[in-house]
Amino acid sequence: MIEFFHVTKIYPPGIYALKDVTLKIRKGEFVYITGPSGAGKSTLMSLIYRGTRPTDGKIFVRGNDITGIDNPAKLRREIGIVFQDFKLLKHRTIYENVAIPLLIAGVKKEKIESRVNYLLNFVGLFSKRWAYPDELSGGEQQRVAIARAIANDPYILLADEPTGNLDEEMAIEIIYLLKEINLKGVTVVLATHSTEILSLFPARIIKIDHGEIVSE
Amino acid sequence: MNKAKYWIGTFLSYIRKDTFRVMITIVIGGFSLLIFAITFQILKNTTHYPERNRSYIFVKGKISKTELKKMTEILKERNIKIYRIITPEYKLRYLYGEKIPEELLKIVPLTIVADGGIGKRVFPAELQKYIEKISSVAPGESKIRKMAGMIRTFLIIFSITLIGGIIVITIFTIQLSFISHHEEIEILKLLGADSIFISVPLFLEGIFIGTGSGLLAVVFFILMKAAWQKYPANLISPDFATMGTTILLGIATGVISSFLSIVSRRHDETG
Repeated sequence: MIEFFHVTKIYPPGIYALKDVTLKIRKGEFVYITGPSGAGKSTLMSLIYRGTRPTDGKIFVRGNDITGIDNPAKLRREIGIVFQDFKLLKHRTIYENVAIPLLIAGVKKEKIESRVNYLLNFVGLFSKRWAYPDELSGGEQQRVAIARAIANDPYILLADEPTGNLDEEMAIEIIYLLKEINLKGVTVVLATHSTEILSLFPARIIKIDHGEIVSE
Repeated sequence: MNKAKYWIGTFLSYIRKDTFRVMITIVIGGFSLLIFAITFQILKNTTHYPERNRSYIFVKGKISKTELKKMTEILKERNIKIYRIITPEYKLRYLYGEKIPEELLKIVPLTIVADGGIGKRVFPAELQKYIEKISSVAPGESKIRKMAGMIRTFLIIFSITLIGGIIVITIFTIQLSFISHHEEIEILKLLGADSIFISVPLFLEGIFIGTGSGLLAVVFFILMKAAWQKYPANLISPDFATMGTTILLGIATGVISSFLSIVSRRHDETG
């Protein structure tokens, strides 16, 4: 599903974010990317959704070489992304936030309505669909972000430190939700430095330090 | 929720957020288009001046009422209409929007503008046979024509510069809008939005500014006409063609500005 071949990423003025990384994530896997702050976890995630280009090496997503693509819009419509800071549109309602990826994908109005209602029920926020993000707690906002990320039935769900801004109870809730999504066949890649999460929900762990994979 | 509803909602929220900046741009655009509209009206009123078979009959010294009557009769016989009689006393110093030089009025106290229609001219010999005071008859006075040409050229260049200025200001406003909504645009990109999806609200903003400027210019023009009833109101009196052209030009500048700012933004991002 995701393949890295000798991928190196150097940020100016010569800082190595990733050094000769080769890895393979299979379809339907639940994978943790872990390591200390600044290890290169976010860069690795960003390379998968083409938020940045590798300096060297090749990246394949679902068999397609995404290394040189100029327009990543199509790729991003097939990947769900969840961030630590939620990245919700503040002046849009919860309903609209979840509906936007469907609009972008060109889904018809009637289908959008039923899909958004289903997703909001799935994350337990249907009753708050007309609220604005600022009216919700951190955990609720992250649930909205997850609903939005899976709106277009993605093959891959990338979660970059999704529990970083949440307390332990809410963090566990979010990981449960991601596990549930994984059970539906979605490949989940979760970047975290929380050891509690790793011990509570065991799965494959890729550990990065100073831009290199140190253990798997 | 559908795309159109989303785009209009986003466009309205952008306008609400940047009301002051948008309004300032519309007012500047409005004033610039007003100058364009006045220029356009003057050009329109003067464009056909050399092509029409109008003759300018210049008379030496004072002319009596009897002489004038006689001359009018001759013209009438030849089916030539007197379009305007110009004397310094009447202070009618404009011919089809072009000012007659003071010096010319001093030398030539009376000018008769005779409209012979297509293919007809006033022949000097014929008129001079009856009235010896006629100094010359010309199918359009060269000095006036030259001056009018110069004014026209200046006005055309000035208008083009103004329109260029409006486009630059509108591009600048839309670019600021891009910066102001950068965070939101970045989120949309992460969700897989292509440049068309992102650009439509900004495109609408450009059209809104252009249309607003055009409408404001027309309102200014009508108010100006109302406040300035007399001379030279005839010259700049707005007609429907001028008002329509001004609004259309406003919309066109909005479309061009939006297009250029979106293209330049894409170029910046990919470059």
